[in-house]
Amino acid sequence: MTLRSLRGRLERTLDAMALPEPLTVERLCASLSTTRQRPLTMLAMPLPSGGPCGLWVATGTADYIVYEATTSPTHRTHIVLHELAHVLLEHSSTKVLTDDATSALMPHLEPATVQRLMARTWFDEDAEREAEVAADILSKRIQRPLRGAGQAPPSEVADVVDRLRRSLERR
Amino acid sequence: MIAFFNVAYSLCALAGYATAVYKVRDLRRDPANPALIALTVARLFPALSFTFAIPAVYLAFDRLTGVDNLASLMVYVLMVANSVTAQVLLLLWSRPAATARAAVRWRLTGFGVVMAATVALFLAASHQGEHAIDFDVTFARQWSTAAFLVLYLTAFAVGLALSARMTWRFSRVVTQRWLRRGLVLNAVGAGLGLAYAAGKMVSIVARWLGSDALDLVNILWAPAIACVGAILIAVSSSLPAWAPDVEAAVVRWRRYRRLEPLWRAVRDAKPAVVLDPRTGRLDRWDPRRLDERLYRRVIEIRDGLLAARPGFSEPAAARARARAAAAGLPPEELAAVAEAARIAPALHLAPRWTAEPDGADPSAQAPEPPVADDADAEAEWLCRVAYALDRSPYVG
Repeated sequence: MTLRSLRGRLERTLDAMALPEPLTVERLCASLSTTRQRPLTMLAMPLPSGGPCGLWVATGTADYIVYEATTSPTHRTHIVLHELAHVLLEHSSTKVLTDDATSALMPHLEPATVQRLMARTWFDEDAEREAEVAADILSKRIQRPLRGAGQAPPSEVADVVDRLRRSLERR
Repeated sequence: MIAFFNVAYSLCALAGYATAVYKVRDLRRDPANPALIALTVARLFPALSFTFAIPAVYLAFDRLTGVDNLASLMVYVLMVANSVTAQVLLLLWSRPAATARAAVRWRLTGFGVVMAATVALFLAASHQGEHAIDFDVTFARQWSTAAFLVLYLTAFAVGLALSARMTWRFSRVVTQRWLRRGLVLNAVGAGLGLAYAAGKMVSIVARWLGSDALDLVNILWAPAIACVGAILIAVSSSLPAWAPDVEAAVVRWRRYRRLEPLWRAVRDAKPAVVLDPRTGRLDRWDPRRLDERLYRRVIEIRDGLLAARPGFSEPAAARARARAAAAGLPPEELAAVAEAARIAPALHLAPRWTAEPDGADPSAQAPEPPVADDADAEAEWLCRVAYALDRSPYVG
């Protein structure tokens, strides 16, 4: 499947999902936690180089998203979105990390309780490509914190400006 | 001159129709927006007026109706209608629809009276012969035609004077850059419309005084100015809608190109970070996909840098920073130079010493790595690093 058609298919899938509006990472987490009826926890930590930069770890009772703490904010958001995409698309996978590696990464988890684990490494597997393309789509849809929000016009003219914008700009 | 006006008036009409069609697309999304309805109609009237003024259409209309110069009546009545809709539009911009209603009704009644008077005055005199471009000066000394012209020019000028004044005032309070530019353009266009009305009036007065010295103002210069004004006004009402997208696309395209050297270096060092190694040529040029491609490029660079991190060199970063600072590079340029030097060894880049003494990217905007999740700032920052990596003599 080409990337373009994969993107089209995933856009339709995500459209059909009734994601929170407006979409933010926090609201997406909260909504997934509600529908899955189990807590979803985000953990930022420096991950060993050469390994995955994001993980979704599912135990019997909870979900954990682990993401690389030492990269740029936009990259961190992307990594989180990739893992959340695995959850959204209900990807399943066998454990790929040894119990030792799991306990090294997440010392407070009992390795035996880990039922599912997805790691963001490279995109050679179908599930990884899907999650990555879904993260691209979600990144376009999430509302980021406004940068340098323009100063608000005086209140008596705010209505006039609003009417001007509603007819001259494209909304 | 006939050929000139065939072309010029067609362009004016086309600009108006195109704007009206553009606004109808917005209307489908927001059908109950009174100002948007008024704006669409306000762009349609001048377009219709210019259509009748095209000499070829003018003569064809006269032949069709069998009344010489009846097209002049159409041109002028439609211009009065334009003036009235412009005033209605200003009212609907300034006041909420509910409180604007009485004033709007008053304007429309006024238009009805003026239109009836113009038609009566026009029909009171006969206008023999074909005068597609020199109607005013030919018949200016007939009293009813003179009154017709004065009434028309006054009604037209009132609307444009109000429009120029109000859109200029609006432009002073809005903070959106392209909205402000659109309003200024509207004010300038309306100002040119006023210059047209003044030129017409002066040349008609000259005819009353028995002089044809200003005929060329009436026949050529005033209409040409009106043409430019009409096109400016047409453009002004869609500019705030499309210009920001065009501007953003240009910025994105330039960033995409500026990231190329860094992305190539990352790809060569860590080929696995590329999601789609065989991006099709056609896809590359699809402007609608530009933001997606830029975002992907940023993420791939970040993935690659993360994977290449063990090869980063803090001493190289410190060295480059010290060298650049000693060479007098401004402090805000140092961050990108240091970052480029830090990552260069990991990307197996040989030191590049270029003759160019300046490490600053002239088109750059972000001097520091972004501290919040801001995709634009992130792309801009990586552009700076890419530039320093490629060009700075202090890296390596």
